[in-house]
Amino acid sequence: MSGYRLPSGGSVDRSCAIYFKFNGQPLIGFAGDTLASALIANGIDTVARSFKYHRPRGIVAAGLEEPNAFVQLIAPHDEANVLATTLPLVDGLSAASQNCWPTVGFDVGATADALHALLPAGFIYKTFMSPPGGWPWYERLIRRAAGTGQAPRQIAGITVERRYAHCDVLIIGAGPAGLMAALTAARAGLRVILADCEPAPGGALLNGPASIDGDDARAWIGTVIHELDANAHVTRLPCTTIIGYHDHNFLTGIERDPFRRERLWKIRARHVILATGAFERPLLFPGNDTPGVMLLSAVQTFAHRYGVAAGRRVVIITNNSGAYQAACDLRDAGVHVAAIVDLRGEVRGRLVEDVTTRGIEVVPEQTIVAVHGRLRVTGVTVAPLGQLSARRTIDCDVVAMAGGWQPALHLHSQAGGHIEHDTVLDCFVPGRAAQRSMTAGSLNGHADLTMCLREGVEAGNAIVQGLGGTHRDVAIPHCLLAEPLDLMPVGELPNPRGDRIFIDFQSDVTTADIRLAHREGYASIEHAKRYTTAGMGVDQGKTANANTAVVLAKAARTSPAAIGLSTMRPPFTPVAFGTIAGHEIGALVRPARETPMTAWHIANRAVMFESGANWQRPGYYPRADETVADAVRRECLAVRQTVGIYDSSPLGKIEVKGPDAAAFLDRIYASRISSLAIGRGRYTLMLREDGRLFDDGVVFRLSGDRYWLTTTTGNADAVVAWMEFHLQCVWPMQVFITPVSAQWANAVICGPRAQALMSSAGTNILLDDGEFPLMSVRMGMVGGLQARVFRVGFTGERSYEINVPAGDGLALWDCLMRAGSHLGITPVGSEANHVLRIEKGYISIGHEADGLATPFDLGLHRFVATDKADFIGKRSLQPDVLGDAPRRELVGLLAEFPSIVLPEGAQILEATANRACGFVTAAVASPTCGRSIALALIDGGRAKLGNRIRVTLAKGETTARVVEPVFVDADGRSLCA
Amino acid sequence: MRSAPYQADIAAGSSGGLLDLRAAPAAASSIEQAMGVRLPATVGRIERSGSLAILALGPDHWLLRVSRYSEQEQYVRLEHAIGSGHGMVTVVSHAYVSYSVVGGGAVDVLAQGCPLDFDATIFPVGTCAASVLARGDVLLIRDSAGFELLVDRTHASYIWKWLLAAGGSEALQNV
Repeated sequence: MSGYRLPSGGSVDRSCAIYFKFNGQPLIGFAGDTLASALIANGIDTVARSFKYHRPRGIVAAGLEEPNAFVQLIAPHDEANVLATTLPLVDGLSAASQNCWPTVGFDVGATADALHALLPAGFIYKTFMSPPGGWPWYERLIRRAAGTGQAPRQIAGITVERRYAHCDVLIIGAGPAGLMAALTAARAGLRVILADCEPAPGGALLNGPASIDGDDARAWIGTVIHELDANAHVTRLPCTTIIGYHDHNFLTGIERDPFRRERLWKIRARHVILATGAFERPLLFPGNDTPGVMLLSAVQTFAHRYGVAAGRRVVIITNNSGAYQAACDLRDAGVHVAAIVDLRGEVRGRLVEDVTTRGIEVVPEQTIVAVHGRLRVTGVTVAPLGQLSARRTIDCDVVAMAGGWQPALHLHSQAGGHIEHDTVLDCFVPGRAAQRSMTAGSLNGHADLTMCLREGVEAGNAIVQGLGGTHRDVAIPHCLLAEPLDLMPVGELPNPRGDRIFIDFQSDVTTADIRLAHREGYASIEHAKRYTTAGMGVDQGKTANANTAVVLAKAARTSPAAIGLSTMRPPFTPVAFGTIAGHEIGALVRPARETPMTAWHIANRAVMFESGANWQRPGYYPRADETVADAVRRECLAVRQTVGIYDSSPLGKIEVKGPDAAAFLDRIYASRISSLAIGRGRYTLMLREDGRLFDDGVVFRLSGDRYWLTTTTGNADAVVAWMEFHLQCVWPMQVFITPVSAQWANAVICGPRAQALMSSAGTNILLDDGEFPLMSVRMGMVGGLQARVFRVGFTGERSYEINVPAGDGLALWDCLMRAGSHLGITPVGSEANHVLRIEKGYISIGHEADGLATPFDLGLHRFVATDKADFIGKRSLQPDVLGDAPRRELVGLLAEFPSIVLPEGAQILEATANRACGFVTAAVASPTCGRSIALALIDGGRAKLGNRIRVTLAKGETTARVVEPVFVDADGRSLCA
Repeated sequence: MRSAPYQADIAAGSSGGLLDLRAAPAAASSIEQAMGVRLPATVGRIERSGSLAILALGPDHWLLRVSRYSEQEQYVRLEHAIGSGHGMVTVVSHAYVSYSVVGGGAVDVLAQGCPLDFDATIFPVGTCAASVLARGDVLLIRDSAGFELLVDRTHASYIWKWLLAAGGSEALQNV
């Protein structure tokens, strides 16, 4: 119990108590608190256990750089890895510590800490090498032992939205630089978005006393915000963290209200100004991860913004002069500061006077060699840098680290920007930007307020000029010059007892781990990071990255500049998957496509399947007690014996017209199209340049220069794109193509009684084979509807594909069902269609045409007009290109046991040798054949007709005979029956 | 945080008669002369003449909106005007479903799934733009009240559900 609420101060509303729970314990905070500030105010020291060693950890920072205080949110909803320092306190909030069992105070997992010597960086790679195959078991064990929270078990009942936005300039960070940039851009009339992760604008100005234009900085912020909010071109996004800077100035951000309702912003910005500020750096001394060791900026922020003292007695350790001003501010706010341990020697002047008059002892040229306490700091041992044995102990419950500042380069780096090292400030700063972005303020390393304000104006002006806007003068507000930092670069501090010094609190990486990685050859920062996991936690190493580089540089005897920082990637802060999904859950997960008859299918108990390109199609229509097999068998037999009807509307449909249409289609297809008579059609193949089958379909000539094409359902869009590509980029031919898939619904009636059904439905089209032969098209009326009727089919039976405008689709279907009731009309689903096409040996794109098969492999020689001058894929079908090796060819298979349906995809082995020679492409139980049948691709398959091969099953294998790939009506008489 | 439900009326309407027109420059001139209309040259522009509206979808691509009952008559007129020139007209009235999203919150609804810049200076009233809405294609036509959406018929049911969810009827249940 160290932290407490100060009697006054902070921007919290002390009249508004907020009731919340932490680890089940009821607690009280104030409106305006974060969970972190309320926990400290309630004297909670240990908030979490670390990821690997389960060491007790307290709150280190006050903002989104916090590495430890990730909690499991229980209410208002279930969520893991929520950062307590940015979680606004609301009534009823309930949260719990992560990575510990049974309690955060007594954690069984902490045995890992006792064994730490056995668990250095990379121990996983060295320890779990045997037995072979043991890794999955180890993985489960490690997963259970390692940290991070529990994934929510149900979809949260919160509003999650997504939103696209555009602007001339996106300014990230509403601190002094960001506000000035926004003001400058807004006055010039630009469309501005100003995003900031905090609810209140002002950035670091809110964390301590500051004066601008002779007044309290808060008054100045108020004036600026008033002007921005009055400008219709300015969109202010408070509580919005930009998490990703992607290509082409596309950025993503998350807006989150106190109840954790979220909006994912997708912003396309012409220019970006990064004013993301800087994070204070921890110092590397032994025991620096003990609860109570915090960043000085955090101690100051908790006091100023929330009226919370982090502890009763603070010792500051620093390498720069900024700590002195902060110490004075803390003392003035009522926090007791015992001493400043300054790593530098000879500190004199006004700063020292200011602190000593406040009763704060200055301990120059000394360092902390030990931190006392386990669940909370109870004191530190300090010693002179030159004489580490001359120790003395100072009682304290807070150690405040001020190790300089590391600019928040994440977004700059994500955008591809260069990073440089500033030796004076001893930090990494933004170098050349890779996109249209600028950096301003303390992101550039400046600690001086005037400089930050000026850079904001300059960045704003540069963009105004770049966009040709009207430049308006914006005066730079007046403020006091800050004392220079006089920062002394320090790396790992003296460690006489050889204790552990932590670099990455979250991933539990020590300075020794980094040195070990270097000894083992991981000399690059990118390798050392992955080997040690430094900077790879959900906090993305915001407090760790700079120190990692410094320690690795020392191990490598080089400079931090030569080591650099590892490339940073989105997201900047953790994102829930639900935020990315937005409201596209449940029925909106996939963009399901429907035909005009979909409602009929569902009403008639069809089992609907997704059948490519997001189409929902009836799989089969089971009657009362039918099994799948029963239904499919009944549907198949209806097609072979009476008449079936199926909804073929998802078929891709394209119209092509132009003086060069025939010549164009001759090149696009392997078959010859130019010889088609008007009203006639042809089954055709579309090949890729490599001669492999890409798509198949039919082409009909509707009039002199107008054609009707069908594609497979899944390739409808790809075929249009393929043809447009060739028209626009390859051949300047006079051809237009218009996709019409959605315009037309179609029903296919097929079976021996199909012609009778056409008559029964009523049509003015002459149906005799002489008048309306196979592979021809007629326009006319069917059941009183204007229709295009094609004599094509995929079942091997007499078929009519009746196309009507989509709005008439259901009327057509109803009409055909009524007209066919006395003929035994049976709706047929895609399962039966699959059986029927296999019985006929018709190939299917994606099954037999597997992306490697040529038309010759599939026995489709007669659909390839090799005598044409050229067509796509022709060259690749020449013998010298295909080579002499036996091709994998389409054959039929009859399993030795007729009741065994071979598994689709099963591997085929040669009869006598254990050599794989192909696979089963499709297999079904054929009602017509009364046994199982299969199609397969086999090496040199045509030469193996009559032979036996072996087929692997899930368990064991079986044999099958290689046969011709046609099982029913090989001479095609049924097509005209 | 301002969030759903938004001030927007989402309704289904009639797309009327639609003719997809592709025409090379010579055929385009013939059509302009024969029909006494101008085919807008800038993509996104809309020309209106009586009950006819011509939407420019591409450099040689237009969508003609006519009354449902005159689509065949207009089709024949266009075919006649093209004659032996290089042009293509196709009836596509059934390929689209028309939805409207109007009201002060229309952009709040659409910008959840459509990446277009809805600023009135970029996407002015009286123009159109082809884009995507969530994962379906959409042609947006902006008027003073809001937007008309011509949606691929096969995705219409999906887009409708998406619009209701984005507009807030689902969100309301969730709150």
